Amino acid sequence: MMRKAFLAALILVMPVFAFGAGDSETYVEGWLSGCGTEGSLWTTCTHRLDATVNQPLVAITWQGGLQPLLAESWEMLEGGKVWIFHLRQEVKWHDGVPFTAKDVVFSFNAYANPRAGSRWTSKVADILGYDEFQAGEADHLVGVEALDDYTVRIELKEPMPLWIKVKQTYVVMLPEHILGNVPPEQWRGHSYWAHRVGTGPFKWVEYVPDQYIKLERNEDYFLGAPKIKYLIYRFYTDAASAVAALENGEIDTTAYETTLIGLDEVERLDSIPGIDIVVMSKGMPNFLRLNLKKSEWADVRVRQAIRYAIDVDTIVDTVFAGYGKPAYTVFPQEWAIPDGLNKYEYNPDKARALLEEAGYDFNRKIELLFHYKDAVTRRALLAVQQYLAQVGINVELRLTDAATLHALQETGNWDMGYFGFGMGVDPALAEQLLKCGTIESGGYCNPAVEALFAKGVQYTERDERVPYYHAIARIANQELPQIWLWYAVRPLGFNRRVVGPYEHWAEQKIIYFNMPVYQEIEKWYIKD
Amino acid sequence: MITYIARRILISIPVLLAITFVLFLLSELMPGDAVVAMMSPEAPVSRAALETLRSQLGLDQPWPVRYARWLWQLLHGHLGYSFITFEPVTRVIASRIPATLELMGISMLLSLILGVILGTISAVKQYSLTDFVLTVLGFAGQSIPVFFLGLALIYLFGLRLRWFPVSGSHTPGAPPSPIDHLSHLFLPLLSLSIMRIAVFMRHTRSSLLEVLHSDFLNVARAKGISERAVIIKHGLRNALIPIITIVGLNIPVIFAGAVIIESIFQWPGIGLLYVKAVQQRDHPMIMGLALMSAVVVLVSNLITDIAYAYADPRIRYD
Amino acid sequence: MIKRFIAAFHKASPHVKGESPWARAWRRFIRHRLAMAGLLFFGVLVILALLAPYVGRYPPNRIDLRNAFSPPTWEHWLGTDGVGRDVWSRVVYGGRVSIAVGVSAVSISVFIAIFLGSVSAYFGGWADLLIMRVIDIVMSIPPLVLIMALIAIVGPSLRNTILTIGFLGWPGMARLIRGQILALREQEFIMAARASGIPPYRIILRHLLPNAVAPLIVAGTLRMASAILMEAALSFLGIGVPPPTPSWGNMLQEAQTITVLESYPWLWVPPGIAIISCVLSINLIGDGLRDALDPRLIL
Repeated sequence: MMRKAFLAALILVMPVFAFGAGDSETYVEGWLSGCGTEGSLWTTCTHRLDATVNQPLVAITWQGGLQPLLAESWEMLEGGKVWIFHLRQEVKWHDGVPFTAKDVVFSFNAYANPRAGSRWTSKVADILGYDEFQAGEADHLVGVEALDDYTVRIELKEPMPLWIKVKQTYVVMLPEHILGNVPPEQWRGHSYWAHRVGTGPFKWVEYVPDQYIKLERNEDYFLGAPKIKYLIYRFYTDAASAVAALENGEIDTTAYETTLIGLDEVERLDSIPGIDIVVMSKGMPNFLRLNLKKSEWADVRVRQAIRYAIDVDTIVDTVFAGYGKPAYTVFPQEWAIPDGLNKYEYNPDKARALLEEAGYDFNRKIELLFHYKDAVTRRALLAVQQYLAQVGINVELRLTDAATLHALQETGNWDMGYFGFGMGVDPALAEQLLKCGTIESGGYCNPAVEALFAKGVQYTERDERVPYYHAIARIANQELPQIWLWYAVRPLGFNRRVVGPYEHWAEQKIIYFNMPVYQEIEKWYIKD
Repeated sequence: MITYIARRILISIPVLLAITFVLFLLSELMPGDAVVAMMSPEAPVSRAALETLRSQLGLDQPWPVRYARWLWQLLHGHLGYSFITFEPVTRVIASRIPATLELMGISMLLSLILGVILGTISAVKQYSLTDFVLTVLGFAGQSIPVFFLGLALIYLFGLRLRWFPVSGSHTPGAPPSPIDHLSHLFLPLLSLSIMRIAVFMRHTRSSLLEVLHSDFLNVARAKGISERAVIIKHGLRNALIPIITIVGLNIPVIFAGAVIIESIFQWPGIGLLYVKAVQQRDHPMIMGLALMSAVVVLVSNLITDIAYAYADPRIRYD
Repeated sequence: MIKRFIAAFHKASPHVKGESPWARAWRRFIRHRLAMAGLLFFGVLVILALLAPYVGRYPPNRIDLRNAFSPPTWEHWLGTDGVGRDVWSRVVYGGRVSIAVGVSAVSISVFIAIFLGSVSAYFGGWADLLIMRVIDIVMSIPPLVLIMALIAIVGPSLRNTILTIGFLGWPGMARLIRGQILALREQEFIMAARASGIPPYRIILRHLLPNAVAPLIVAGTLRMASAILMEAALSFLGIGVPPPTPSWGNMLQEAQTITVLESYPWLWVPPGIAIISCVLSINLIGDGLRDALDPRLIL
């Protein structure tokens, strides 16, 4: 009797799933649980909403260029010290209120406001009046000024021709009429983030915590109403479930903010009809960061020994299935890498010799901290552990979470960690990694490098910038402030029934983290 | 008896406080805090921004102050706001409990029914092949790591057979439908229940076996009552008493949520909430959840102990 | 150990004609076919684990990147894993770790449980009050969450895995012991012992515990099974036994993708079968013990 009931239930239920979740009107993207309602000012993983619901004035495109969005055009004056933005005039917020210069002034101030505590405040730090605002001496940014309803003037502290690409593209426009009257301390938990009002191609419909966010096309979008009617972001905690969801049609695209598809899965997934995989460069090196405040790691011979001891080529060939490349210096961009760098060919004997020369204590037991949960990283680190053990360096691998990682680094209670650092948009972003006094530098301090970075952003023409970055690259290669291992890659999965995502990501090649990217989403459509 | 109950309730209050204190200490001892937990190690944050955020959350106060504040809030019936989403803790927990109760409750019920039925069959046909197979299957079911079972079921039913969806509690954006919901419930339910069915089956079997051979059942048989009535009306009813005890002991489990199942199947319940709260060092949420589960455990322990004390007067030691 | 209990029992209780309850229990156990099968199988696993260095053909942590994901061959009986380590050797060594976790964690639990449970039941009063409240506190926190918090504080390691799992298990068993001793405390032979001036610790050790220990044996056995499963769950969450040390749990964790599930079954089938069969045999033994010692036991 129970058997019959079971079968009956099964039969009833089966037809419902013949079609899977995405129908001809709905495009479904997989996303990470926990990212959905983080505000733009503080998040590291919610930037998709900054491209579909909210927008910046000018966005970076998937090809690495610039797309005017809320600013129709702009002018660069005084060699990059003053910027005039001419705003688009027919634009309304999703609730009908017109978008004007007031919103622009409000938004830039929001990022700079010390009471808001934005983690992206460094993106507006070059604007005149920022330091006074942060110190509490001023109550707004004097460098941002509305000349009239549709013109905004921004003055920087110093000329910076790259400012629009390297900094402005991170700043997203927020509605002054909603958040303007709310005290900045209360912005973070405000209900706005659970029901955003923006100017972008999609409008917010509903949010079900830990399940999904549903967006609907904005018929009045200034670049044309999107062809797709509904956009749903579905949340996943477990990587295997997200991949299974891609396979059975529950989602059309996997998330890019974290590794969901392992490199060993690429072949199998790609061979499934209708599903294609793009292996994106993460635009970042993966490296071992050492606590340079400890004397044993401060010795450059020890660091070089470590690099000689690891057979990076084999790891890239086997664990990474040939994807990705060995890294000899900090920058991922080809144009920033000079010739003649030391390739640190695998040489365990030389490594041991260097260690003995430096007087390394082989009895030390150290922990290699890391936070990546995926299997491929784990295998790579297992290999690293074995290579190091072969030259006498004994490490224990320890998976930690972000909170513990940060705490340990702050207290100085650590030796070695495996990290990445996003700098895909431009090598200038690597500055934080090699800057004196930051946690990311691990204690490295070289004023020559800081000066080179400062010079590098003073020019717009790539040819003029090359010599500075080459110089930094050489120092990074010789001194190994962090031990560069390989350039990271991340596979993304696409269901080809939607035309647009695969095509744009395949052309994009590098993942731009922590910023909205214009990918012509209004032109994407679903094949019947 | 009344004094016993009153005394137990009175003692529960300092115990509750102690539980909250222990959890508060544990949260404090975990390295890192809510501000840095959501930080990606790949993206930098200025120290100034970190400090601002810390003071917004009150994390710059010394811990006794923070604990006192939390207690004060509690006395006013308020559990505070999440450090991560800033939603009121009570609202978040209340919105997630139904999903957990549903999954765990139905699983408990299903396992109970199936377990009792299978256990009865096993006991009645003791030492037969059926009994043997059921016993082995039952124990096997108890021995599989639950995350492994979950993944295997996803693979079999979700991918190979495409009979069921693999995540969430309903199809996003679609109008709510009971069939849709049930189909999403099926796989997590199955993963959870396989182990429980085995437990109930074994207990039913052993206690029924004992009752079946007892004297008063023989009297019933001698009276000419059919074997079926003997088993079901007389035997099972007595054998079920210990089963009820087990169900009672398992009530806190129903509220705890199945952490692993919920993360594999993205089931929006309390378990997932708890894990995220610990990972993100969301102290108000951890405390709120801890308080809730503590209350549940204390209440069910109290009920169980009262039942024991009622049955065996010697246990009323005080 | 059993002999000492038997002897103590004989000394303490009124003289019983015929065979002792322990011998009777043993005979009942032997009759239980499944339990004997379980005992046999578990014995085999333990022997394999003890003989790991001789049975395993390669060092379990030796990496061979160019030979990763190799299916079973004559060279590698169960194939190799993602970094080329021999699966058979890892299963055998992993058995050491998993069984060690099971046995050690349970020993810790049992030790604490016996101590606190008997003190609580025998002395009653404030001691009982306090200990029962501590039990309430530990039991009210969902176990996985408690372990996550503890391991976040002390860091993941084999030792910490054993300690935390052990620390989780004692409340349930303490309550059991307490219940047993409470029931026994009022019996005549105990009263006689007390009246004759025997010190409490001796009464507990030689008279009460031997009689109370039966359900604890069963509970301990079952707890060992759940300890092994708990270790696997912790490895799934990434906070179990850290690499490169193999344990069945962390070997299963490597199989957490559909690709491995489908294309490399030799990675997860051996540790999966190992866990299931080990836990299964322990459960069967426990069931047999329960039938043998007291079929009425609800645990």
